[in-house]
Amino acid sequence: MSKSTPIPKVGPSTLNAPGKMAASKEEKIREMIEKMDKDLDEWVESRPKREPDKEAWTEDNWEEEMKKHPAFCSEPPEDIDDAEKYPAWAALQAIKYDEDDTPEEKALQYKDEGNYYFKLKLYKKATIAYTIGLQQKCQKPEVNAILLTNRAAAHFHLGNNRTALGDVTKAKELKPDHVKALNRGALCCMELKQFADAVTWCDELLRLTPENKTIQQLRAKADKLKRAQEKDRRKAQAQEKKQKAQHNRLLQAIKSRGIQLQMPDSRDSSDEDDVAESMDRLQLASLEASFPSTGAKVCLDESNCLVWPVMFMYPEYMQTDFIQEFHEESRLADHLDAMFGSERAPWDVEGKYKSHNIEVYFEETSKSKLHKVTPETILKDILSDPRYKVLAGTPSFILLPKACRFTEEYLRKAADASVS
Amino acid sequence: MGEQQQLEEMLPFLSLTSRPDVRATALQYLLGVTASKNSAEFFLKNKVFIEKILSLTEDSEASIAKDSYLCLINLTAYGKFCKVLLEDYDPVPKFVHTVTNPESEFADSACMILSNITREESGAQKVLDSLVKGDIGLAKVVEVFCHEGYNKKGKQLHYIGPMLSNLTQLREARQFILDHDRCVVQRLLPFTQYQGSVIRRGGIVGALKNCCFETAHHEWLLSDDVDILPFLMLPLAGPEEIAEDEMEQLPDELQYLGEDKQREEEPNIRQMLLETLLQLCATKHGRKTLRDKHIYYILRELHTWESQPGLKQAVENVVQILISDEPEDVNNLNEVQIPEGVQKQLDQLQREEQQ
Repeated sequence: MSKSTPIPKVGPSTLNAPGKMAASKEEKIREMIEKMDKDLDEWVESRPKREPDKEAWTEDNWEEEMKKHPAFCSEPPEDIDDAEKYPAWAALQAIKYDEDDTPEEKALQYKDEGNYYFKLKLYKKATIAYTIGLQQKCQKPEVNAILLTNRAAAHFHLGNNRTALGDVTKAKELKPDHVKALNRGALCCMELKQFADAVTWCDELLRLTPENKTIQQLRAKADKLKRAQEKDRRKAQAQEKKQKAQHNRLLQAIKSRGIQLQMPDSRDSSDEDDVAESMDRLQLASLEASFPSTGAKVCLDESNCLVWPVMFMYPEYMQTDFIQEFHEESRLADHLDAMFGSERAPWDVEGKYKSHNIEVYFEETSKSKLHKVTPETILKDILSDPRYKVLAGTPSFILLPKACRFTEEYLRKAADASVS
Repeated sequence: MGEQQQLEEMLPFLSLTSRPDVRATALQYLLGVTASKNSAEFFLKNKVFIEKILSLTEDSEASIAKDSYLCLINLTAYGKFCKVLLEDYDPVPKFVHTVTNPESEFADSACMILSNITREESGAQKVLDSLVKGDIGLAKVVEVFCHEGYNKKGKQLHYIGPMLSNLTQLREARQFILDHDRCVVQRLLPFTQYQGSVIRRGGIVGALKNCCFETAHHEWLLSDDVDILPFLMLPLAGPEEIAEDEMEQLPDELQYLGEDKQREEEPNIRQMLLETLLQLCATKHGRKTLRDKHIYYILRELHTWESQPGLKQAVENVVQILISDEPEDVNNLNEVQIPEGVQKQLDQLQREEQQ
């Protein structure tokens, strides 16, 4: 290892120790200093007085002024070209951008400025510089193509892929063989998941650089993703179609049984025109489970029978039971036996609710009238009753105990309320 | 021979200096002659007419230039004529220029002529040599072919398809299309489903089939870099619903095709597609890929649907290989030596089947 010759140490040069000075000498010096101070004051006083500087920042306005000054501001002002308002900016620009510069020179200078910001990853500032560059209306399409492509790159890094794609598309029109623009276009399309377009951009690139491995790989990737995307679209379509077919079968089954449906919020919809036209839509909507928490919804089983969700209501105790799957061929009694055969409901404090002791009613909604049904009836027959309307996709029944004061009262009240 | 005399009398009217209407009429007569049987013989004996026709393709009257192109299309249907044309007049650069000229009205006609000329191997070689030597290479021709709307006069250039198919009978052309460092075959693949033209579709399938004879490239063709298989299978897939569990095993492109999916309607193209699959089955890697991608499900449906016995057989040939056990120590079935006696028996069986 080579070594440089050591530098000799340098110390403070030794001075002769100061001796004591005569007192008279000390005094002389003081006098001299005082005289010099006086002379200086006189000289300052003798200078012509100056008006206070109007441009100077005062204690009141310094913050505002500082914001305007190019040395301190964080963002260039919007109306930067207003020289009177921003003299410092105008001065700076005059240094950098000579009025006599041609639009092309100016455009290139702004390009350099943009590139400078770009390198510092200040992409927002870079886009502004490129934009001003484009505003110079340079006549050379190549220059504008470069400005657009660079702005696209900055936008790309900001995540503005659509804007970036717009820029490179314009750049391509100006200069069809601008490799960087084509490259950026392909990348933007990938980000935007427009894979078919990405393939097209790659193809144009490959026309210019047929053996570019990176682009070949990008193209293969885009092509593969494109096909996967198409499959997903087809799959979604197929599933939608299948669901629709299932729905139609369901509606057909309901219609053929003469069962009427009603939306939860609409009253009896007897407007003929309306019904005829929007029947299918209405019915589809009216089948959506109105008790989303349960997720239960009428459906067809393998033997083409309807299975309904059914609601039992017990007004005496303000209780309800929800039966998720009530086969249309089942009798009310079947469910009552299962529910009230041996076990007693927790709310049934008096023990009145036994399967043989329960009366079942349904409400004719249009007339608010109660109709009694025998428990031996199967669900299908009840629902086909022209007076019955299935509300919100869920048939419901009112259950009351036989020979009970509450029942009598309840029925009387219901009769009073009914519309005749 | 009266006609000979008649035609000779017309000769002066066919020069570029004659009156245009007379020229047009004379050429129209000549066009009629080219359409008749064995007319090529006459032209080969009277080459001056060939020269006239060639020069009239440059006629400023569009209708005359068009008719002279039509004459050439008719005449190049004869292999013997093509040979003479290529040997004596070196017309390929001119036609290639016409094809690749975006403003040309006659680009399609020139395509058809090139397609005719390349049918025989010697002609294909001449055209390929000319492309390699000339300023417009095969790459440009492929480029023009893939670029829809390239010709500003609305010429479709579909006949570049059959031309490529013809050229790929040459190893050199196959090597170009299978260049791993370029993106050529990848760009041709989508045209196996090109609904706009059976000519284009057939041409590309033919070219792909020829390329699949290059067994050394099978692995690459079936890799993600190219992924040829879905493009060969899609035209063979139909609208039949495939059980979901089976469908999920198929390549993405072959899933959920829907009930409006149409199979390739042209039996010849189906035939070529099946032959291409059979070629891919020649290599062990090919067979493995075809099995792994479960294309059997597609072939099964095709077999049920196919009404032509020859094609049904072609499906069976592929399926037979896919479902049989892998032979030991054989990588390339094309290289298997078949004992002479067995070969004779096989030929006999095939003859019987055909009868």
